[in-house]
Amino acid sequence: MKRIAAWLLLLILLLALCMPAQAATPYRTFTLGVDKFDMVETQTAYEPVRTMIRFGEETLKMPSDMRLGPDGNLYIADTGNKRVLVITKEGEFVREITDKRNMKSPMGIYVDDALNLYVADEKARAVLVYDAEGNFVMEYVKPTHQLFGETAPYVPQKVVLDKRGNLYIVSKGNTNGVVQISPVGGGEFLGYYGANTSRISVLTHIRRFLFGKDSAVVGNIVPISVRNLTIDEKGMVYTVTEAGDDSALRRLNVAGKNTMTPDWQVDLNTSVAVNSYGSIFTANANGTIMEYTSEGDMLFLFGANDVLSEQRTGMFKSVEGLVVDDDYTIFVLDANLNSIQVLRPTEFADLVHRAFTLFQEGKYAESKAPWSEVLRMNSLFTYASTGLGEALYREGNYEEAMEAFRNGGYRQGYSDAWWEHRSNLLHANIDKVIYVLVGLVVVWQLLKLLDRKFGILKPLRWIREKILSVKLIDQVLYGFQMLRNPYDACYGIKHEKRASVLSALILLVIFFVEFVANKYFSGFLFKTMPDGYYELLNDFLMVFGVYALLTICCYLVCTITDGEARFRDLFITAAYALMPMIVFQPIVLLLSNVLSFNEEFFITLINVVSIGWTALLIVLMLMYQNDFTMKKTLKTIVLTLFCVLVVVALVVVLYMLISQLVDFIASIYGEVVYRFVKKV
Amino acid sequence: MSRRFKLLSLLLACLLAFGSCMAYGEEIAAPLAAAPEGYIPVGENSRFILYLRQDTMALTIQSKASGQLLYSTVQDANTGNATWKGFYQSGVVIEYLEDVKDKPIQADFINNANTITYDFGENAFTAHITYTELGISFDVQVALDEDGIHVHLPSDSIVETKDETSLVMLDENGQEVTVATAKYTKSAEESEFVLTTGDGSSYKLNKSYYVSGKATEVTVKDSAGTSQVTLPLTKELSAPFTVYATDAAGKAVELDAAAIASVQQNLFITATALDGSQIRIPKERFVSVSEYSYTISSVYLYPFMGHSVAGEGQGYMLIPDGQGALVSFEDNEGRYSSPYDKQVYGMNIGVEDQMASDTRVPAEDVLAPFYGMVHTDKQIAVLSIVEEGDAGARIQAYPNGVRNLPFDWATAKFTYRFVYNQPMGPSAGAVATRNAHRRQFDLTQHFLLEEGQSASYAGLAVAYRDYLTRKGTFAKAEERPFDVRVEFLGAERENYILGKQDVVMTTFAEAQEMLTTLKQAGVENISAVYRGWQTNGLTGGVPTGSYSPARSLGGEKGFAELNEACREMNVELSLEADVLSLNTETHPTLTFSAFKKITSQTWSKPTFGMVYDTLHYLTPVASRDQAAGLLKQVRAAGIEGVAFTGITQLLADYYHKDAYHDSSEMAAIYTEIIAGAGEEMNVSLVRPNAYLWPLADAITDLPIAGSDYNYTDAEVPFLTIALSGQVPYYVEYANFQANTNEFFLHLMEQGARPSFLLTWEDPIKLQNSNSSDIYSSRFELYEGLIASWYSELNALYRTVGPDGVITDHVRTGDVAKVTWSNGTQVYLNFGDKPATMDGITLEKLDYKVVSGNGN
Repeated sequence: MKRIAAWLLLLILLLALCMPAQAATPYRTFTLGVDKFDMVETQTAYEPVRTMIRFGEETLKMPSDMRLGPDGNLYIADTGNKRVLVITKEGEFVREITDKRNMKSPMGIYVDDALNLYVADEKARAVLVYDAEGNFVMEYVKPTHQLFGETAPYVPQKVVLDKRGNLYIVSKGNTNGVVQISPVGGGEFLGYYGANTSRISVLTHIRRFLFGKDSAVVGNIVPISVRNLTIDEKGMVYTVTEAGDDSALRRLNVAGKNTMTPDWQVDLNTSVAVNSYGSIFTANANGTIMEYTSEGDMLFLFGANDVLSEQRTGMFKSVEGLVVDDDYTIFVLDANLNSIQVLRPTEFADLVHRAFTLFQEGKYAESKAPWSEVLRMNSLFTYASTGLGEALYREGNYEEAMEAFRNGGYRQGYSDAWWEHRSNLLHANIDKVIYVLVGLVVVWQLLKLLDRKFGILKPLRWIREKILSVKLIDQVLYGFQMLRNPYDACYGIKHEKRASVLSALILLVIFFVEFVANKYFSGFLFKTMPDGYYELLNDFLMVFGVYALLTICCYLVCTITDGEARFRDLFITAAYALMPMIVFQPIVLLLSNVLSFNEEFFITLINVVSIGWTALLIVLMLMYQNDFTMKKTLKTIVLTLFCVLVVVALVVVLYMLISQLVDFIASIYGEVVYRFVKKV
Repeated sequence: MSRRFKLLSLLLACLLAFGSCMAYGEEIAAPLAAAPEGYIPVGENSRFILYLRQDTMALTIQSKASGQLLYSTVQDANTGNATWKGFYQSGVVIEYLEDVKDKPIQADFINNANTITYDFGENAFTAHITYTELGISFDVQVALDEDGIHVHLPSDSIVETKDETSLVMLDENGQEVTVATAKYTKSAEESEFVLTTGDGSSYKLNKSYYVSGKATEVTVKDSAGTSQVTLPLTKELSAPFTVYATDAAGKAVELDAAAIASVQQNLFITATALDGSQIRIPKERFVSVSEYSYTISSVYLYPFMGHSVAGEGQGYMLIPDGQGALVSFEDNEGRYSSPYDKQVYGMNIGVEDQMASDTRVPAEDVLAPFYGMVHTDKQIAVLSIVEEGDAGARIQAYPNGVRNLPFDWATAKFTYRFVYNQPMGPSAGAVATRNAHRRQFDLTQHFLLEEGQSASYAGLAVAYRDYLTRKGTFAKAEERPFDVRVEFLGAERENYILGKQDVVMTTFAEAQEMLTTLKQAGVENISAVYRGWQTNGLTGGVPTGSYSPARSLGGEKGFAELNEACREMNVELSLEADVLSLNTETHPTLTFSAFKKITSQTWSKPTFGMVYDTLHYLTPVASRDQAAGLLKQVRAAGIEGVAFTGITQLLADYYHKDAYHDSSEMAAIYTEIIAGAGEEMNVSLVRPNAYLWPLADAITDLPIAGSDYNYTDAEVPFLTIALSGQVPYYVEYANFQANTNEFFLHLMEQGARPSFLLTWEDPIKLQNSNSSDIYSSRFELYEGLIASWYSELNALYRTVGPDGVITDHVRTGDVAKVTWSNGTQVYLNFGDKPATMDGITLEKLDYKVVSGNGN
């Protein structure tokens, strides 16, 4: 699922202002809620510790990148000062590497195990290499290999090294991918690595079709280029881009294939960091920091943008570098504030990490205790619910596991636990079920016998006939004729008045009720609406509005295509054509509450059959009522749809005009009040 | 500064400190340095001498014991531009607004023409200040009493040219001439002119009337904008004219020489000022009733009091962030770019626009209007308290380097007039406007002086406590044995298929069971609060204008039973009353009582919740009505406690019934509401603004930490030291703390009482309600924690005794030491490594209590 709008959603969906105070921390921390649909607030995971601005006598000037060296020091590409600054994690100055001759604009750095320093220099158009003493060793300039492309830009921005010494260089404006260079022979171009693919939307396709490929209207469809990257101990390369789509964070294997799809992304990512536990951290320019597990599950989202220049630790203006060490201490480099802010995990985050580590190692039973503790601190922490669910599932405690999975919004787990629990239930109760069934059969037979002898069901039959003789009820029940013999039914409606507008409306209401019941009361596994969301007015408009629109449009079209149908007939028969869905929807609702994913097929099948059947009935109904040929019927349907489009467009235009008018009047009112009435 | 110099100054400081101790010990006054150059002595108490420099009103304070000086202005003026130089060399600085321009301009004693005349009294003087070119004048009274300096600016001494409305007309050359000025009386309502036209009809011209146009005609309009009279101007008047002016008795009044030109006699209007003086001028020549264009916008009283020069002294500023935070005097070398600048008692939502809430947590509000400067090297300190005018004050603190000034300084800025944006329509932009009314409040700032050992934040906190006690701030609060506060959340609302339904979190019976369980677990003293008790629950049921316990929780009967049970268990039970928030969805009839900003727009805030999108606030008057209704019924139901929230935290200017009201009016009404409730009931106030403290039986939800400003070096429990032993205070909920152990240490450090938000049900049930931010509250999971914290904290309270107050607090790195009045010392280690202090070893996140007798 796309998460571009997710960030916006977060703003819309979240949390009251009467927030329980979380003192100190200038940002709220979030984690994914049930169904990964929105975010829920959680305890602060990382708290600000300090801001480092001065390092001995040194300060930063528009720094661009920061790495943690194997010596435990922080290496900073201090772009504005044309140097690389080395400091301790406590902010003490260690040394600086300057090189007036070669180093012009260090944008990215990497430190290898031997403390050799690789500097991606944008202006020098090279990756410069320095030894541990800071002496210039060599440089990697633009590859001359023909596969590199003569016109392809080589403007090194970031660089990392794998264990074999191959360089991965992000080159500004080069959309072919990350430049991979082997150290052999002074820099052999190995190829482009892990290029992002450009995605072309349907709209773009239409534009291309209408305006031609090269038109400006078509827009830029060049793939987005990598903004920053890092590499972990296993040689996996992590890249981030500024797009908020699937390319926002990727984990590439040796072959450059993506091996991870995060479940939530934000845009404008500028940095990425991985620690040795495999925890992945990204930061975007606005200071939103996210922690992902090694599986790409988003664990925490936090950090705030310092738009008011409040100067609070934990607020950022332009994040350019991110380092996370194995204590989960986070160092954030800010190019605008020229500072490094230090955040450290709270007791809560430590607990979550401990539980997650156990969980990922498959030690579900051992993870139960920490997960329970996490849940004590935060009942809404879905990962904890899921983790606890797994532990309970393995213990064979399926019923509680179901509840935990339900709270965690983990459908597959819930389905498995339900399957087990259901079969246990069946096992335990199969004898009772059989007794009841047998008992029912016996009672039924007995009743039939007694009825034959003494006619005891006679009053019931009498009541039934009485009810059926009520005209309206008879009309409603005539719907079943639609299932048995559609032609017959259409004839009955058209010529024999077997149905009325009222009976059609009743069927529509029944359909609406079933529609609503299915939408909101399906079993957890098959429910598509998130919990707590109800939009009955929408549903009402959806069912009745669409029905009215379609029948009216269809009637209008029919009148110009010489159809015979009266509006009344169309209105009634269309409602009767919904009979298959009316009959099958309750079954779907029932099944959705008892089936697990293993039997999902049944529900799909019923849905397909009922919808297909209804569609067929509508076509037949149109043909019959209008006395059309098949071809003409289909043509009418297409025209009807077109007519609907026109009506909708008209309504939208009208709405916009009216809202502008309202706006205009309100503005005049405001002006009048200001000018003539209100003089405070 | 070289290291040697630092050492030297340290040595000097030590010597001086030693000297001062000696002086005290031997009761011999140290030889005083001569009065600083240009200063004259104006007062003296047992510890200090006060000097005044008359041209700039600068004060200097000298300690009798040590001879140390504390300056209120910068002595060596060689940094900054002229404006800054004027600012930091003047004792009193104002900002004024010119005409219709919307940017305030500074006026000081260096850059602006002024006269200051002094009336000297015993240990006091009054300065009559006039900015001659601006026509603004006011009095400042300064007095030295035993604990410090008292600076007072009475509102009614302020005279602005705005108060002197003038009649302006054109002379023969078409130049504007002021023909008369009439001074308004003090109250805005009384100031008016009466315009009488030649035909005898008269029109009152008060503030809401105005006259416009001078090209061809003069139009007099009333406040509704309806034209009352139009006076045509003859385009060419060559004949000479005369101005006749008569007073009430009909005698001629002398007019401005320039105005007594010649006036055409048969055409005139008469303007009568309230004092009875009348001016008769020809209507053709009448141009406008104009207001002089300079109005006062804000005032600083001794903004540089106790400042420090970067790199020259040691010490820190105390700012009112959270409980109190310290900003070191250490030279920042330009690290920080913007100052600490916060409105006292939180944002003035009637004027300022709130930023749409996103992932940001707003900085802590200023709960109490104090700030301080502590010179540890000179062992002299000043705590500034805003005593009056707090409703209109901002606290500003500038660490050195901010705005390129090499000083650490802090001040209160009092705002009389705002510049705000008046929106013209939903999509039509806004016009910068300023409020014509001057907010009506006197200003009083109290500078408490401390020296010697007391020159520290702890010393200032103790001084603040003494000050508050002297003022009778804690007269209402009674002594209360140590207890924990449990707050039950009753009901919330969630969407349902048609409409909404209750989410029942804690029924009244369940609450009773929780209390019984806690009592059995050894938690003897509990004060309980019920939130979300009302019909429609926590977010749906606001304002709580009547006593209607939710039926889903047990209804009135259920609550009565709980109340009875609490009485038997000796638990103080309070109902939470929110008479500020307004949910218009559930209370549509109150829609017209919604709080309006001074732009006359209805204020609302997004809740970002799933059930109710927005909440409004009630106007103070409506809050009062709601509170009256609720309290009457609550009293009748025999409930003894009420916990006020909402109105305890808001202070704003507002627009009500076609008139502007300033925040002091709101404060007065809120005081009235709470004082009324307090007459017969126990009143606890949720995070109350300091002006409400005298009304509280208990103060709750105190913040435990500050806002993490880059420039703060340490957070100190200034407020809790000041409140210690005076009023029961409870800190914010323990539920939502990420560092539970560290939080507990803070409780131990501050002697604070913990609060818990409890529900019977799992809060996961709240996830589709407006309270989805409550993610941890289930009683089952907290009962053990409450009992264990209770027993540990109760032990501390037993050790320090019932009258225990904190007398000292020292923090070094991660370790802190708190001293109580009976000598008990609490050592705490907030770090994650073992640490030692005074020979006492502490494990990580550990504490030790050493009682007064050494155990």
